[in-house]
Amino acid sequence: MPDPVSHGGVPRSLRLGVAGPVGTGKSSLIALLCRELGHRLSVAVVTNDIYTDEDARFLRSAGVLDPERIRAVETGACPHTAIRDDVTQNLLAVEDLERDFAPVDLVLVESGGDNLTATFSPALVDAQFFVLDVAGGGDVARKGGPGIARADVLVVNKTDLAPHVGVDVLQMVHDAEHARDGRRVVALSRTDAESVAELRDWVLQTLERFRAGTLVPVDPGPMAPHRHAEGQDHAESHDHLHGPDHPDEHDHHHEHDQPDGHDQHGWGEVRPGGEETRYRHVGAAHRP
Amino acid sequence: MSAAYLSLLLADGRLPTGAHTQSGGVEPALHAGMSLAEVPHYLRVRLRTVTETEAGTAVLARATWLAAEPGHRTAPLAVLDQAWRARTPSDALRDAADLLGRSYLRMAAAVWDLDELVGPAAGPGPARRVWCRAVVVGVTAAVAGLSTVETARLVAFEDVQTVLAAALKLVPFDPSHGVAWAAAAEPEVERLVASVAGLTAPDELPAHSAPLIEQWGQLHRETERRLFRA
Repeated sequence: MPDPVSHGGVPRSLRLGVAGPVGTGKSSLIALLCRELGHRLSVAVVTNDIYTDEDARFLRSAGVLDPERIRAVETGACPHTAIRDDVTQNLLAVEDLERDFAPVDLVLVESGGDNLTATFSPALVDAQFFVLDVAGGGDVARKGGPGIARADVLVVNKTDLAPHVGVDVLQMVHDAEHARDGRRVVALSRTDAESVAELRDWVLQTLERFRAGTLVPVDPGPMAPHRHAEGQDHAESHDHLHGPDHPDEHDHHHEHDQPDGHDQHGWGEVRPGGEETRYRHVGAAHRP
Repeated sequence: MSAAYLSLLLADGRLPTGAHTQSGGVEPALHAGMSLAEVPHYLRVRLRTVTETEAGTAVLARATWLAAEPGHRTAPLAVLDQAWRARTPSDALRDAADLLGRSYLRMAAAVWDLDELVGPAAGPGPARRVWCRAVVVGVTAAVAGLSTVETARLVAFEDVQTVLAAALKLVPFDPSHGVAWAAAAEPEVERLVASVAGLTAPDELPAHSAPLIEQWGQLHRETERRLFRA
């Protein structure tokens, strides 16, 4: 997990991920949040473009944020890797922004537009949006996937286009809510002030939770959570490894060996070679 | 733990150091018109020029870390870091190596005690001192117990695999051919290992010229369409 307080004495921002397929409006959503929040919060942006720095250039040209607060990270054709299993370059970009513009309240990290399976590692972001749009078809939300099912917020974007593409927004939102077991769904249109306010208020509430120390990053995961055949909840059978931050669900991917080295999962005890003095027990205070 | 095991661990492409964002210069080379068939030659050029300098720097960083008294290691490492910079004319390539140095140190400092290299927390304002990747790899090799030869081979192997993995993404081909090319590079890799194993001081670092690699590196930074950082 990211250090909740600081890195090297630099205050930590709330880090929010924005994932979703190409063309659903991730960059526009970020521009919208910058416009809505930029005057009251210190905001910065990291983009993960697959083949160009198009997204970073779009955001710079949108004029909603100081261009120097927008940085692009190359992904080496691996947008999934860059936000999920080797988040190093993204973490460095986020930490650089936090250092260069300290104090930063909010860093928005945009994923390279990928398929439905790409979600952010909790080692990179504290919470995440997954963005769909009505133009992609009303049935996409039903298809599910980790981002659709378990991102902190599912945004159904461009609702103003619904009449033109023959999509029933209410049905699509209903399908999404069903797929998400009641987790938050925001039907968004830039032209619908109420929906914009809902999104903005969620960010502000999440920032409050982050500052209060009660925001727990949750991995949407590459796989659906499951129970063992014998009916024993998987979480219960491994509670010696998992801290209190996975109270109700998790999957088979024990991705708790985060390079950030928070010790909440007891890694200090199980780290290989932990008894040897040349191997360190990792603590957040030692991060470079 | 055995150094042989840790040597494999550090050579694994899955090591989380952001290396998947790098192409070892093969992306701009291909853009500039180099053909896929020339990739083995490209590997040989790198192993005889920039990669030899890189490996030599890592070998010397390893020796420096082991020889200097704890608390007095950064001064001689800074001299070495400067020697590497003086032999790397392209600032685009130096920047890429610095970013990789930071990434590598982030990983290594979570595994070994590298506080001296990391430096004290600076707080907001100027960032910590940045070390080029070769220095960080060499110091990591030192604390992992790798020998001089293992250190040099690690750097050379990584360079070969970085180029081939990136080429595979840019101009897809039967991936087993890439493995064959990597295997065929072994004599060049061992030649490099032998040539840097005896280095004892930064002044002895090879200062080759690889003007095309440097020029392509400079051009690549300005391109608006790229998959890889460098």
